[in-house]
Amino acid sequence: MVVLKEGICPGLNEDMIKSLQAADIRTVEDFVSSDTEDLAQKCSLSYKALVAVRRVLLAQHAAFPVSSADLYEELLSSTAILSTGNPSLDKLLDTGLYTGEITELTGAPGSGKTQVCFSVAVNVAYVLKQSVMFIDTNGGACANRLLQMLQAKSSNKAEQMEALERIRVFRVFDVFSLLTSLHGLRTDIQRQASAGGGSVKLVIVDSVSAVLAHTLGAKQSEGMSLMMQVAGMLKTIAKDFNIAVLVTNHAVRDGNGRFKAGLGQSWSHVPRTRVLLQPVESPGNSSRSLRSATLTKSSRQACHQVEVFDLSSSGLSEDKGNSGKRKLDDLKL
Amino acid sequence: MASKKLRRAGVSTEICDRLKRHHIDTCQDFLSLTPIEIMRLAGLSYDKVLEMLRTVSKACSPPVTTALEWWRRKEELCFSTSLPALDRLLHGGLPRGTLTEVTGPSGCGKTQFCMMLSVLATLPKNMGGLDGGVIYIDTESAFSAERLVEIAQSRFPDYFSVKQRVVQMAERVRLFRELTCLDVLNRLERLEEDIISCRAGLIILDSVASVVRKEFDTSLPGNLTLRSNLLGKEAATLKYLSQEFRIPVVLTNQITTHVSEKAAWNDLEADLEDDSGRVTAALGNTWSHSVNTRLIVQYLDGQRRQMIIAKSPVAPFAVLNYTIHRDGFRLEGNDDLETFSNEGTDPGLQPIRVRTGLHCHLTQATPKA
Amino acid sequence: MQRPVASFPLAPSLKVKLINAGFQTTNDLVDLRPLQLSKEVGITHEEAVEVLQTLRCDSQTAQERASGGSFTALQLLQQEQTLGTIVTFCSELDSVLGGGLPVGKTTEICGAPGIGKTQLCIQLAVDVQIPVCFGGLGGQAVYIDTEGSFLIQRAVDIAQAAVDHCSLLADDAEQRKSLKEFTVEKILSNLFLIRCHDYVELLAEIYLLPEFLAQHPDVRLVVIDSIAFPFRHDFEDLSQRTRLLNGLAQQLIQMATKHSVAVVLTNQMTTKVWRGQSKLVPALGESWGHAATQRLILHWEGSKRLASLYKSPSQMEATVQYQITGEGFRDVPHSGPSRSHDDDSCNDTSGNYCKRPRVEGTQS
Repeated sequence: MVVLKEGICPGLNEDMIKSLQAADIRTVEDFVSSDTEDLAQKCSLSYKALVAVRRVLLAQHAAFPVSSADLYEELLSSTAILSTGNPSLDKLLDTGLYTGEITELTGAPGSGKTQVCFSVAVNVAYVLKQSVMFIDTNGGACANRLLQMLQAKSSNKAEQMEALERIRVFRVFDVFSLLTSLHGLRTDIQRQASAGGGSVKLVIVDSVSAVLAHTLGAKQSEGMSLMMQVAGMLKTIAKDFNIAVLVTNHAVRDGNGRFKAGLGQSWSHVPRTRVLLQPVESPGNSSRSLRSATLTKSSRQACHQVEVFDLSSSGLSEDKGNSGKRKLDDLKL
Repeated sequence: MASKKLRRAGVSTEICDRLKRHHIDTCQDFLSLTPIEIMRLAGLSYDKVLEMLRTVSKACSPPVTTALEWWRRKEELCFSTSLPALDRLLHGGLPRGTLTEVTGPSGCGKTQFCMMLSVLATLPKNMGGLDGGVIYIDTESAFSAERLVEIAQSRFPDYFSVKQRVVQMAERVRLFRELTCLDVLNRLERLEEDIISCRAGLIILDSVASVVRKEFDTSLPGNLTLRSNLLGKEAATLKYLSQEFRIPVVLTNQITTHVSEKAAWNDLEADLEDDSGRVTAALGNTWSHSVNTRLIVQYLDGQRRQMIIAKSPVAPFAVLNYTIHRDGFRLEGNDDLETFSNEGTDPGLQPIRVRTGLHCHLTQATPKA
Repeated sequence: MQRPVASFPLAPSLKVKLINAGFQTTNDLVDLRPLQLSKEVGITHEEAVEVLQTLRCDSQTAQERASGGSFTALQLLQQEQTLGTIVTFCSELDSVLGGGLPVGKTTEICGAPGIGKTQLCIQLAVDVQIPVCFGGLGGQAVYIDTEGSFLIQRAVDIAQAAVDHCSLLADDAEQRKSLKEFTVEKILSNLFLIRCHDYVELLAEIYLLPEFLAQHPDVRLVVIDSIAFPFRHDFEDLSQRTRLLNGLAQQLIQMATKHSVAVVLTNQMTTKVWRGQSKLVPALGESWGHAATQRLILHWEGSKRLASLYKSPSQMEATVQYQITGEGFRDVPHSGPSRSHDDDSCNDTSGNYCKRPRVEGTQS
C-alpha cells in the first residue's frame, strides 16, 4: 500500500488528494479498489481525470507477469546446492541445501539439531569456503565444538582459524531483536554485494521456536503476525541474495506419542523442506550417538525416507554399525 | 505480596484502568502474562512493557540476604528432639523452616513421636525446648491428651511434678480436628492467626495421607493430578508458614504398596525379582520432592523399631533402633557414627518393613557397604 | 533499507493504525514530522514521537551492527576460553562436563527426590568462590531457593571442606595469601540468598536479576532451586505455564550470556504412565526440555547415585557415578580405571550405556 501523495503521478494534485482523503481514500489500494463513478460523485471531481490517474497508478504499481521459462532460466543460473558434509543427509535433501529456500530441522531435545547445524556450518566455511551467518537464540553456539569439528577435517591451524573467521555468530534472545538482526543482515549483505565482495551462502537460525513459541497461543494475534514477519524476512533473504536458510524447530509429542514440529500449522508452510531428527534405539547398539533423519516435507523427493547417521566427535559421519563407538579422548582439547 | 494491587505497585492510573478492563488487577495477574500479551492489553511498546514489569516486580520481589546473616542467627536453626543420636546426625535437630515427614506402618509410633515433640516444644529454652505453643492438626482422631500428660510426667518428672506446669503445657498445645481435604486446606490457609495468637513454635499435621487417600481414588483418570495439585498447595502453604515464622513443621504419612518396580528411568536391566509389591511411603513421587526431611519408622522385631533417615539435606542415610516406653521414644544402641556410609536409596522407593513380616528385605534397611 | 512497520516493537494497536493509514514500511515514514503523522494516522502527539524515535533508533543500530555488533566464531572461541568453568569437586563429572559447569550457559539438573540436587547446587555455590590462583573463578553466587531446602548448616560444612581442601593444596606464597581471604565467613558473605514462596515472586525476582547482576559484577553463578516446585501446583492453564516457562528460559539465557554467569536450574521428576509402564521423566512438560542449554540427570541405580549428561552442545553424553559425603559432592573412590564406557557396558548391568529409552517429559 502506498500513500497517495502529491506528485506520484501526473494529474494528482493537492486539491484532489485532499478531497479523496475526506472520502477516506488514503492509499493507492483504496483508490484502485473503489468504484470510480462513485468516487467522482462523492468527491465532486472530474470522472475523466480520475480514470486517467487510475490507469497510471495501475501501470506503476501492478505486478508484471513473468513467463515460467524465464523463471526457470533464472533459477538455473542462480541456485546453488550446498552439501551438508554428510552423504546420508545429502541424499535425504536431494544433494544438499538449496539456496533460495528455507530448510527446517526439527526434533526433541538432545536429538542433535544444533550438532547438524554446526556440521553444515563447518562444511560450508571450510570446504566450500563461503561465509556463514549463525543466529543463536538459545545459547547453543559453542565455538569449541566448531573448532573440534574443524580439527577433524584438517590439522592445519591457519586453515582452521580462517574457517572460523568465516562463521559469524549473532546472539539474540527475543523476537524483536531477531527481527532487527535479520534486517541488519539484509542491509549488510546488500552492502557487501554491491561492494563486489560478500560470499554469504548460508544463514542458520538456531532456534526459531525458542523466541516464537511463547508469543503464540492464548488470544494473541500479535504473536502470529511477528512469526509471519520473521518468515517473510527469512524468505526475502533467501530469495534476493541466493542464500540457503537453515532453521531449527522444537518438536513435541502429540496425543498419540508421535512427534510433531512446533509453531503450528501456519509455520509449517514456511520451510520448503522439513527433516525430523530422532535418536535411534537399536538393542544391539551400545553407543548413543546414532540419529535417524526422516524427510517429512519436500517438494522434490518422496516423503518419509529415513537415513541414519552418526553424531561423533568429528561431526556427522556414516553409521558404521557397531563400530560407531566414540573415543572420548578426542574430547580433551 | 502477589495479591498486591497494581496501583499500589507504582503503575500509572491510566494503565491500571486499561488493564482492569481485561480483569488484570493484582501483581499476580500482571506477572502471569508474557510481555507480548501486555503490549496488546496495555497498548505499550516493548521497552515500556519491560520497564513496567520491572516496576511491578520491585513491589513483589522477596528481599535479598546473604548466607552469613542466616548463620549469625544459628541458635534459631534447629529444634532438638531430645534423642541424642538423631540430633547429632541432623546437626542439631529438626531444621526450622522446613518440612519433616515421619512415615511408616501403623503402630510404629508416628503419633507417639508427634506427641513427644509437642511436649518438648512447650518446654522452656534452658531445657532444650522452644518455649512456644504447638498447633496440632489431627485428621485421624489419634491424639490423646492423657498420653500427652503421661509422656510429659515420665520424661521430665521433676519439671512436671508441679501440677500447674502440666496444665500450662496442655494449654499450649492447640488441637484442631479436620476430617476432609478441604477442611485441612482451609485450616492451613487461616493458620497465620492461630500461630501468632498461641505463639506457636511447632506445627504438626497428623496425618497428611489419611484424608487425601480417602477422597482421591488414584485409579480414576485425572485424580492423580488433582491429588498432586492439592498436596502441592498444602506443601507450599506449610513451607511459607514455616519459613516466615521460622518454626519446624512435622507431618506424618502412611504407607502404600509399590507395584512392579519399573519406575527407574533407565530400566530394563534392573533386577526385578524381589520387587513386586514393596511397601513404601505413600503419596507418590511428587510429594517426596516436597518434603525436605523424611524419617521412616519400621518394625525390627517384637519390641524394637527402627528409624531410618531416608532423605535429609544434612544427614547421611542412617538407621537408628528405638523402643517406645511410657516416656516416649528411647534410642538404643550405638552412638558410633562411623557405621553410616555415604550411600543411600531413593526415599520414595525405600522399602518399609511391616509387622506381618512377609517382606524380608532386612538387608535393604542398611545400605550395602 | 525498507523494513516493515509491523516488525517493530511498538504497541499492536498503534501498528494497526499506522498500517491502516497506509504506512507500511520505514520508507513511507521518512521525513515526516510528528504533528503531521499524528494528524494523518489519528494518534496522539506522544505516540507519534515514539514511533519516529523507534524507527530512527533502529536505523542507527543497524549501522552499528554493520560495523561489528556480532562476532566471528574465532572471537567467540577466545571469549569462551576466558569464561571458564565451575568445578563440582567430582572429577569424573567435571571431565564429562568439559572441565566443570560452563559459565555463560544454562544447565538444568533433574533428579529424583533425595538424590543430591540441592547438595550439588550448594557445592557449586561454594566452588565458584575458589580463588583464581587455585583454578577457580573467585566469584560470588546468587541462590534462589523456592523449596526451603537450603540449610545453612550444610553450606557451612561444605564451605569448611572446600577451605580445608584448598589449604592442603597451597603451594606458593600467592596461594597462601589468597587462602587467608578464603574463609568460611567470607564464603557465606558472598552467597546471596533469596527465598521465593510462589511463582509470582520467582518471576518478579528474575525480572530484577539483570539489574542486580549489573550492580554486582562479580557474581558468576545463579542457582534456582528448584524451578519446578512453584510451577507445578498453582496452574490450571497449562499452556500459559508453558508460555511463561519459555519466556523465563529466554530471559535466563540472555542473562547468562550478557553478564557472563552460569545459570543452574533444578527440576523434579514426575511419573509418567506410557504404554502400561510407569517411568520417571523430568517435570514441567516436554517443551521445557528445549529450554536449558545443557541437561544433567541424576538418578538412582540400586544404592548408587549416577549422573548422566543428557543434552549438551559441546560434550558427548556420558554417565558417571558420584557420592554425597559429609564434605559435599565427591567422586566415588575407585580402585580401577574411571568411567566405564564401551568395555563395561556389555557386562555391567549397572553400567552406563544401558539401553535407556529416551523419554521426554510430560504435562504435569
